[in-house]
Amino acid sequence: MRPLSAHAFNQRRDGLYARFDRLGRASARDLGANKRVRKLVVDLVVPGQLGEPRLPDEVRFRYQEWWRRSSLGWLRVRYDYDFVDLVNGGRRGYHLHPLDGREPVPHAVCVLPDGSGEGRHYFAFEVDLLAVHEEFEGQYAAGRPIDCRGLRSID
Amino acid sequence: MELTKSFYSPHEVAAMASLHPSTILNYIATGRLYAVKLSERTYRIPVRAVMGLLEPERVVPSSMTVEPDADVQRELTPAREVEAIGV
Repeated sequence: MRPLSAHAFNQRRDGLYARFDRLGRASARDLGANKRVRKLVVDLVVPGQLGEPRLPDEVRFRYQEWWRRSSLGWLRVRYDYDFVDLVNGGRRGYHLHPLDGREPVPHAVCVLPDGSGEGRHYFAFEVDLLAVHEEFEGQYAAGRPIDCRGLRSID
Repeated sequence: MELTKSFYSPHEVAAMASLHPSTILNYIATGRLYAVKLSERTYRIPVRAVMGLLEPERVVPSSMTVEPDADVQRELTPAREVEAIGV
């Protein structure tokens, strides 16, 4: 992902927030814009309707990104993008962080509804948050339970 | 208006809003109404978007907080390095 100017960062943040807000109740935090490391956290629960009608939350999207200030702008250096099925159980995610070594490794995580797969890592390329969200959102809207088909272990 | 499902089809929303289905599809195409695209011709409209169209005052608001001076540097420091420098 290319570096972002402060303005572009804010535009992207606001665009993502507006997008998420249309699906469920979003809680976004932008931390550290004046510092060397900046973190964007989005917690999105769906339907997220607390009042009337009281609909139970079905899924939770938790997206976290860490960005480092550089001469080129803000560089995304780490992310945890997770989708949790609160009804059936299970979790899908795309992460970028070190595994065994010091270098960050892009990978996928997948925990089936029965809990199997916890702690395992799967091959994945570096991903864009919006593309990931569209994948997760489509899976949720289609009512498909979480599955790990097509994933290749890197452990 | 009783909304009990998480997603609605464009036809269902059209019936609730007393509009023609093509109007709902037009809303989706122009971005006025949010919908998840399941396939080339299949959309599902989340209940929050339906409420936003029919009864916007009932939508539970989202929130965004900006804390420019928050210090999150430590979260990027590798664990071994933290141990080595005794933090």
